[in-house]
Amino acid sequence: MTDARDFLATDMLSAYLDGELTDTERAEVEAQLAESAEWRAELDEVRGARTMLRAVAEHDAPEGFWDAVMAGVAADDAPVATADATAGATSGATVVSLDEKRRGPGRWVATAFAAAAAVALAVIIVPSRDTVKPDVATAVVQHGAQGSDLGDPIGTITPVGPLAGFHR
Amino acid sequence: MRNVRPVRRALVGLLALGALAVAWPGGAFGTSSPSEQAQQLLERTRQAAATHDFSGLVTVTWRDGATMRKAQVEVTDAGGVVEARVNGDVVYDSGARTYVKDGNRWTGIAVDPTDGETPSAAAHWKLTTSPGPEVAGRSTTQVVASRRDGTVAQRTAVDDATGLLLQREVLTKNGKVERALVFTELDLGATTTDVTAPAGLHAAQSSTITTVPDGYVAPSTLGNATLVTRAKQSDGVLLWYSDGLFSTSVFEQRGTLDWTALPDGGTDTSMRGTTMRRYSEPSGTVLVWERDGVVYTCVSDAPTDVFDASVTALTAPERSSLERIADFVLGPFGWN
Repeated sequence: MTDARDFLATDMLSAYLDGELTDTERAEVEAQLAESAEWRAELDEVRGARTMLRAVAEHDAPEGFWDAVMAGVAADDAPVATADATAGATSGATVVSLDEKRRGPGRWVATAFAAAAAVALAVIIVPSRDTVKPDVATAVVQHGAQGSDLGDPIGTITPVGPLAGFHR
Repeated sequence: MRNVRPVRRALVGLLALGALAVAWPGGAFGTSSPSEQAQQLLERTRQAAATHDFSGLVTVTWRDGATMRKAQVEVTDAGGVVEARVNGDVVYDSGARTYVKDGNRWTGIAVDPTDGETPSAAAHWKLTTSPGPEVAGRSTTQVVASRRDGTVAQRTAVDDATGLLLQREVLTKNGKVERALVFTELDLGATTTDVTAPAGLHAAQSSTITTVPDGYVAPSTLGNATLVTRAKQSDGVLLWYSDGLFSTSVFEQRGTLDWTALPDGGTDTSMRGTTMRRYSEPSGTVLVWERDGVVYTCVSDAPTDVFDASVTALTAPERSSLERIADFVLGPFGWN
């Protein structure tokens, strides 16, 4: 499972691809990309994920989804306040490095935004799956019927006979 | 009620004549290899049912766990329309359509035309012929298909006079009969079917496709079996594979498998970490499972070892990095 630090990097890269970073942030990301093969690989993965997401049709969230999300966000609120107080005392520079940014007061705000973004993505990507109840007996009959079209009908249809009463 | 399709009947007749010409003593049959002779006999069984009317009684047996089950089936073939009847329930196959009547209820099942040729059985099985047993008082030639390790996978007895399949046994790797059918009575000659599908009964909609929609998978092969037909149905896709001897149908439906809705009588099994429900039916083995939001229902008349080995192409491979990203995004918000 990717940790929160990677999650932030992913979010920064996503914002970078969307052109949503400030000039300073963009310069920092580009510097990081120039230095780090790991970040470049991450960028490729984020780009690939965005491509995949665009190919997925929009679906409604399943029942209970938003309740689960809001419960998760509420559970995260307390540590955010503590972290903000601590980080706020140590952060004062106009320009911060990515590492400082991860530790700084914006971390939890960014995390919250990232979580919201992930929620939005999840709503888009996750279809409300239908429940499938396979009709096994019909599948067996269809297999025999399909086989009789190309193969020997005696060998394919005759043994299907004992299944004929499957609906009872 | 529709009889057999005229074009198909004519084509089958021509093929049957060709097969007879090849098989006739002194013809090409006499100079072909044992494997080719066996292949030709198998081809002949496929045509014979369309060119010979008959009625008969067939005993069907199949292994269900440690139990061997048995059923008696009345079979008639009238003009290429094959009807199998058990206790008043009927499966009625007219080529392009198959109907099932159980009680007073009819179900129509579409049969999709193939978009490829059935592979030659000789490509994957060692085929041999020998004088066969007497079946229903008739002399036969036996065709044996063996695995590469020499173990017998299938024995068939083909009627010498007509080319009709009179006996078929599918065997496990250790030589036990998994499924079998054998004629105990056979009357050749004109017969009629008294079954008539009700007017207006339509089979389920199905259409042949060249590529499957996104979200479904269609490997070009399952083990030695080649993908012959892809079809789009109202609730998913159907893939039909054949190795020339056995065939496998793969039904794919998108969604979450409702395990509680599956019929009783199956057993759970695990293959490459995927949990499956297995059924042993008189016509073959069924495996049902779910993977990545697709529910698979696979049916095959192949021996269990052959079937199990083939479906590994549809069970979980390593997840791609893209899938892992999706897992990451969705993981914290999973509700399954």
